[in-house]
Order: sequence, then structure tokens, then C-alpha cells
Amino acid sequence: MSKPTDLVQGTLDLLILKIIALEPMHGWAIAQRIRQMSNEVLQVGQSALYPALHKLERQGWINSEWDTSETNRRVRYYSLTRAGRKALAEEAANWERLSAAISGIVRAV
Amino acid sequence: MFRWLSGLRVVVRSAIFRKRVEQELDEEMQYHLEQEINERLETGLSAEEARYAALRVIGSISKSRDECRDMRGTRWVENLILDFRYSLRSIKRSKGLAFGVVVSMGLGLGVTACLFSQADFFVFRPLPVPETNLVVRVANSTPERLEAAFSYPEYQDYVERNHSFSGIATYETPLVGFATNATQQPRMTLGMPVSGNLFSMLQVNPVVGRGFLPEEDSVPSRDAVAIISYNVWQKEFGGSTDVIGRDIRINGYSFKIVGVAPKSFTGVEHYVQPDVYFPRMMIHPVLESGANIPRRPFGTSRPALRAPEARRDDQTSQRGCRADCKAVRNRAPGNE
Repeated sequence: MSKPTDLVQGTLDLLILKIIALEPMHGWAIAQRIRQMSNEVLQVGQSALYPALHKLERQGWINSEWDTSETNRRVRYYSLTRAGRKALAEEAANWERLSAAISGIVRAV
Repeated sequence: MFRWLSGLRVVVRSAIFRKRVEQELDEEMQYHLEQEINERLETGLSAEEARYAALRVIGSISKSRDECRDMRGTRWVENLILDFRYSLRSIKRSKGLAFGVVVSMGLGLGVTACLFSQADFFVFRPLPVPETNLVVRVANSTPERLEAAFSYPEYQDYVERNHSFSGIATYETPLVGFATNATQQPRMTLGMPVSGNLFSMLQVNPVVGRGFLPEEDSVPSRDAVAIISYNVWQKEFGGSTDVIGRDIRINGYSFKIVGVAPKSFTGVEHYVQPDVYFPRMMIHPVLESGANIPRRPFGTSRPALRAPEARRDDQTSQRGCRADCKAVRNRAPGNE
């Protein structure tokens, strides 16, 4: 199990932005989606998830609003702002560059 | 711009509605925890086991809460509010001390403000006359006293030997009884006997009527003419222009108004504002012992003259005066 702190710095932000770019989601669903999409490799606990969400909101990249979930519970939905969409594009490009560079080194020899 | 605003919104919201923001976070985390438990229940764990396992995965909730607070970047605002509340509670607990602190700070501020306003009043404000930079106050001193009054012969001596000043004027500030007509009950106020040249020398032009003529200050007790202050003109004569020629009483003595001083001119001392001006030569009828009233000469330096020259001239005059006036001074007090 990979703890969130083991994630490359800033990667969690990218993951969150990417996940909610598809549709607005609440915290639990974001964590679930990350787990599913990474085939259970990345498990994000709430101790990492919520601080990250709060930071992104302060940065103006995401918005939050309360709504009722499919199970009729009051939950907070996070959605991407326009600035967040721009940030996502940049972060994704950065990640591509960084991971390609790291892979290049790791696969060498 | 928009991003910045949205960030500000978060900060302001979490600072003002701290309790609500915290509650919302708790609600969110509670939901998260419940979902984790549900998930484990589905795998066949008992309720107790599922809860325990979920809590282990989630980690310390209070730590997450703290981290969220840090991420919102409002911790300092929240701390500030908490500190403020704490200090209010402390004040409530020790009212006496708080009262003492407030009083001493208040007094300190008051004293400082008072000193500075005094300094502003006495030091930084120029005389309310044109070309105030050319007006100097002539001071006299003796070994015993730092500032002594001038006698009339002394003043005359200065005028005769003067080469530095375009004029030397004198004034006094006695209290007089003032009435706007013969029947009115007089009130105590400040009068200012002045040398005939004071208004013209200081370039103060009356708003109504005229200033004193030089000859009005040449013969003792002859010219009972007065200039009233702007204040008196407004308050006691309703600002009407027919005040000129009216009869007023100074210490019961009849004077004729010849002019009204402009609003800006409130005398030549900062801390006292005379209500009425009259020629120095009228002192005797007005005051019983005019000779004892101190004289305070004024000089306006000639614009082209530099200060050192004026000082030299002044010193020469004083040296001469010392010798000449000694005898006169020794005859004091009735030396006019």
C-alpha cells in the first residue's frame, strides 16, 4: 500500500484535478476513484485528501458546494474552476515531462 | 484576479464562520469514515472490526483537521481571533488592572497630545500677519530675569537708534472693562494698547474703517479711537458696517470705533486674543497706573537686511541704551 506521503510532491493535486475534471465529486468518491483507476495501487486517506482539497480551494482551482448524494446524504461536491482547468493542463504536461524523464533514467542500462 | 478573489473568499469565510467551516469538515470526514466502514462491512467483517480497520486506514482525524486548517491559510486569522477573545477574558478577570492600564495609557496619550499641540501652537504657528518671516520679537533681559519688559524711554531709544528695522511697534495686554455703549454693563476682557504704527507696520488692514494714524498716538489722552476685533464685531455688533464712529466704553472711558480688525488677525500673542485695540497714548485715562504695564516691542526687519547686521545694530543700540537708561530705570516705577 502506498501512503499518500510517498506520492511525488504535488502529484495528489494533479490526481484530484484530473478526477473532478470529469464530473463534480465528493471527497470519499475522489479517494475511491483514485484507488480504482490506479488498480488499488494508490490509496489516498482523508489525512492527505482533505488538506489537499482545502489547499486547492484556497488557490481558486476548485469550488465546493453542498448537495445531496445518491444515497440521500448531505455531501460536499468539489468541481473544477476555469483556473483549475488551466492548472490541470499545465500540471499534466509537467507530469508527462517529469515521468518520461524519470522513466528514461530508470529504464536505461 | 478571479483566482485571487476566490482564495480571499475562502480565507474570509473560514475566519468569520470558523465554527461552521469546522463543522462542515467534520461532517465530510464523518461521511468518509462511514463509507470506509460500510465498505469493510460488505467484505464480511463485524461492525466492531470494520470500524477499527477503517479508523486505522484513515489516521488521526484531529491531525487531518489541523492540516486542513493550515491549508486554508487562515490559521493566523483564527489565532488572532482566539488571542483577542483570550485577552478579553483576561480583562474581564482582572478589571482593576485593565482599568489601570487603560487610564495610564489614556493619560500618557493625553499628555503627549497636549505637549505636541502646545508645541504646534506656540512654536510652529507663525503670527497671523503678512510677511511673518520678517517680523521679529525684540526681547530684553537683565542678569536677574531672562525676559524683562521695556520702559517707554527704552523703547524710544530703540526707535531713535534703529537702523535695522523698518519699524518698531509696541503693545501691552491689560485686562479692561469693555462695554459696547454707555449703558451696558461692562465685561472684563483683554484690551491692547498699541503704538500707532502697529497695524500699518504689520501690514494688517482693517476689514472696515481704518487703522490708527501716527498722530493718534502722539499726544497723551487726546485721541480716544479704538479698533475692535473681528469677533466682537460679529458677536456684539452683528457684523454691521455702521459700527464706525460708534461710542464704546473701555474702563468707562468713551472711545470712538475707527476700524475692525480682519478675521485672521487675533493679536500678536498666540495665547491671548484682545477684543479691542487703542492707542498707547490712551493708557493713562484708561488705566490708573499705566506706567507699570510692561511693553513688548516689535520690529520688522527690512527685507534686504541680513540677520547678523540687525543683531549688530541691535547690540549697539542696547549698549547706548544701557548707559542712557540706567538713570531712568533707577527712577522706576513711575518712569513714563
